[in-house]
Amino acid sequence: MSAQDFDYLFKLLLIGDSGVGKSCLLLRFAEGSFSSSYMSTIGVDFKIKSIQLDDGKVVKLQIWDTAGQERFRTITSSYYRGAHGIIIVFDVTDAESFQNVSTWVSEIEHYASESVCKLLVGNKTDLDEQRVVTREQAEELAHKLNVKYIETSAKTADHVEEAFVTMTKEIKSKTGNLPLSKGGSSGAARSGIDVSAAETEQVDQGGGCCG
Amino acid sequence: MGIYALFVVNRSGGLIYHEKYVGAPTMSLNEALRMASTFHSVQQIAADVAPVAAAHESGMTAVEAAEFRLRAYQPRTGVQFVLLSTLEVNAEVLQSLLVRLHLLYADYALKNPFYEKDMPIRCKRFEMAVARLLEGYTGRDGVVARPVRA
Repeated sequence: MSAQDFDYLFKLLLIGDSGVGKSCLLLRFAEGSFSSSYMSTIGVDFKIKSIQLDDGKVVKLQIWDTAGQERFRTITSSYYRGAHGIIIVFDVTDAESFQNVSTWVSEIEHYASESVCKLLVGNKTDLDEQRVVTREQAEELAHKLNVKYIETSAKTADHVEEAFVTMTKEIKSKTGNLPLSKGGSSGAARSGIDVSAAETEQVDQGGGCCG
Repeated sequence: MGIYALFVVNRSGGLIYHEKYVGAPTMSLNEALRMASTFHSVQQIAADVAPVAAAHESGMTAVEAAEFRLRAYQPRTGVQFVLLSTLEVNAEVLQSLLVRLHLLYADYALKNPFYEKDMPIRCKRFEMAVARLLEGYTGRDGVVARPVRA
């Protein structure tokens, strides 16, 4: 029996300092779908959630939880490869995690495709009295990075769904006519073939065979 | 017994097609998705840690176990075809089937104007062609396929 009963498969990635609540956010979102620590031994866990869009298409969101990735640095590039969306999470009660957002962004620029959708999420808004990063600060950074910003609380479920759905819709609007993005195509096979470069080369050597 | 599972995994580690035949363990779609992505990750690690330069490109291509045989084939586009079978199916047979699966993918998925690359393959003709190709090696509807030797 084949069971391709979904129209789209999107690869999402959650990144950010440890302790900012990535896994909690994910657990909150995917709760009811499944829960497992089955794959944690090799440093990656997958959470999957189906979303039905307004046009009736079924989207499977496969979220790659990068917990423990420091120990499994060797496959970092494979985490990022082909990702449709990346959610950068920081903790609004932890200034350092906010400062490190730029580090994570440069990581994205290094490994992910240029066309990847990005979203900045400030988590733990329920801890209002301990808050050190203001909404204005975060919005300013998001504006600078040209990404959307959403504040969530994994604890109270505030805006969690919204964060993922926002991302899904944005990806969907981009995939209608998927161009072969730079990072997406050249990063494809491990040894990536750059077809455009090869063609140019061929043109340069055009007269070679006659010489 | 013969072939009991087929996976097609895209270049970013997502499962875009799978078939289960007689003898396959019961697994939900989400489990299949996790399985495929885990295999992809392990493959990546295998390629990265391989001491032989040639292996950096092919990664892990075979798993031989006491009860099953796995063969994976990854053309340079990064898409990956994986077959699981019992030990009765010869490894060379699996290898040639994988290459033919790649051809079917090119003919019936990629050439389908409604198919979006890297997305789940929902092409009826691809499905039929795969079924035809693997017919002799899979047991369907309680009929156990004949053992296959090269």
